[in-house]
Amino acid sequence: MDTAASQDASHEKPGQPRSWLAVLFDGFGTALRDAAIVSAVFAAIGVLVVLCFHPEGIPFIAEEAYEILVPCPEPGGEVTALGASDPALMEPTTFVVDARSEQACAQWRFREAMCVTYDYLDPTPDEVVMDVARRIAASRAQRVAVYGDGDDPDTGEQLGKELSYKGIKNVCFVKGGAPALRARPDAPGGEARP
Amino acid sequence: MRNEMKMACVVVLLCAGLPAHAQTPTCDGLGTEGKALAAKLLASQYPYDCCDDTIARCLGRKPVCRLVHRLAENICRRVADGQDEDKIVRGLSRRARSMMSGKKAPIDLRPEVAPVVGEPSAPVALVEYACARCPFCTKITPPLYQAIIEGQLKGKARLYFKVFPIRSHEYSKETGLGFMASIALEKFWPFMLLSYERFDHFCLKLQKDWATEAGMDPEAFGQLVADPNIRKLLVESKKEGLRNKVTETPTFYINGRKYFGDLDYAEVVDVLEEEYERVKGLDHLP
Repeated sequence: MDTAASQDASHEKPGQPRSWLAVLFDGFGTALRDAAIVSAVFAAIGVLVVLCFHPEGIPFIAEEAYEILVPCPEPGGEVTALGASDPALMEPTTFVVDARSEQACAQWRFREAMCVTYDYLDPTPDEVVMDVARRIAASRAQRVAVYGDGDDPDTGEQLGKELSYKGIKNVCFVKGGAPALRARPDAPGGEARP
Repeated sequence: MRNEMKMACVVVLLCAGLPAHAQTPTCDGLGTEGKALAAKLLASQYPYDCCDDTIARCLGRKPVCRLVHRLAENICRRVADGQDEDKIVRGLSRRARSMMSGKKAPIDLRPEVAPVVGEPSAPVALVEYACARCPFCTKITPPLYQAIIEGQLKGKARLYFKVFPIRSHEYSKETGLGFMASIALEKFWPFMLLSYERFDHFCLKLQKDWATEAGMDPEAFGQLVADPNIRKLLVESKKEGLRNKVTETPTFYINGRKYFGDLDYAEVVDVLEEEYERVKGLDHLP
């Protein structure tokens, strides 16, 4: 609305002729509005014409798929290192996972470690990770310690990173892996979790 | 208004402070704003070798260090690409870290695990850890291969390829085994190029067809893909990458040093040329 003009007009008494100023404002406001509309329409038409006929105009439909490429990361979460002689490994609040092969885990394992073989090529299946998560929850453990073959790279560290990446909290790996754990004077053996 | 005038004066002074002979072709092609930013960076950044002053001042000395000229060009190219000051400074810093590191990674370059392309006398060894199912690798590896075979890196660099399957990539294991099999059958490069060219059309049953197209016997290829020894070689390649702190693909090593710089083709080529000049003792421009 032409506010200035209409306010001015509202002060006039009925029957009295409108002042020349009010008439001028009325006409000016309307002309301004019309000019703005016409300019916008012509500008839009102009842009469309340029886009249609200009060789480097913006295409209306993308000719190539838009892609943002970034280097592909090896997925892995945060893990902390735990010494093989750390007393926390013997605490019942620590859930132990053995990342070595099934055979190695069956021959010897630390406490009642759960055997979850780490493979460098295949990701650990989601159902296995879910099973680990369920068992951790059932054991009421507050920490997960993963040990592996103790090599460089260590399967324990790699599995720890994978479990952490997949949402399991407070994961650490045992430095030196199974060989370091076996060297503990109090190294306990045990049955594998079913 | 006064502030604007001050700003304009600073820009003019910065531009004027850049000696006439300090200009490089890329810098010359910049607009007014770009020139001002480039001048600011050239006046504040230092080359990591050859000259102990700012790049701008080093450019004014005779003879001009090749590295200084190269870094000036690099700064202006980045400015022309629209990079802001922080990004350019970070990029230069990562480049310096890559080139000045003394630590060399132990990499097994035996032909059965690291196929190589390029002239044997080329003094720069570029090692690339890459996954067969890495989209980024498809964009940078083929152009680098071409540059080494027939482009500006010919006679300067050799490219070694190390297979590093990213576990989260679907079929990274199967395609990684395919790459290892093609190494054994001495058809790695055509197979890699074909696989990357048709990256988006991949499905597992096509792999054997592509192997045939690349000049391999499909039966022999199939047998090798299923061969436990080939799997073992692939696992070893992956473990070696992890030992060398490879966390993503592609990861490059230049004459044994890990490359931390920008992963774009122009930057990698520029760094390889810099390394070539360094190894050859070509310190100064003629």
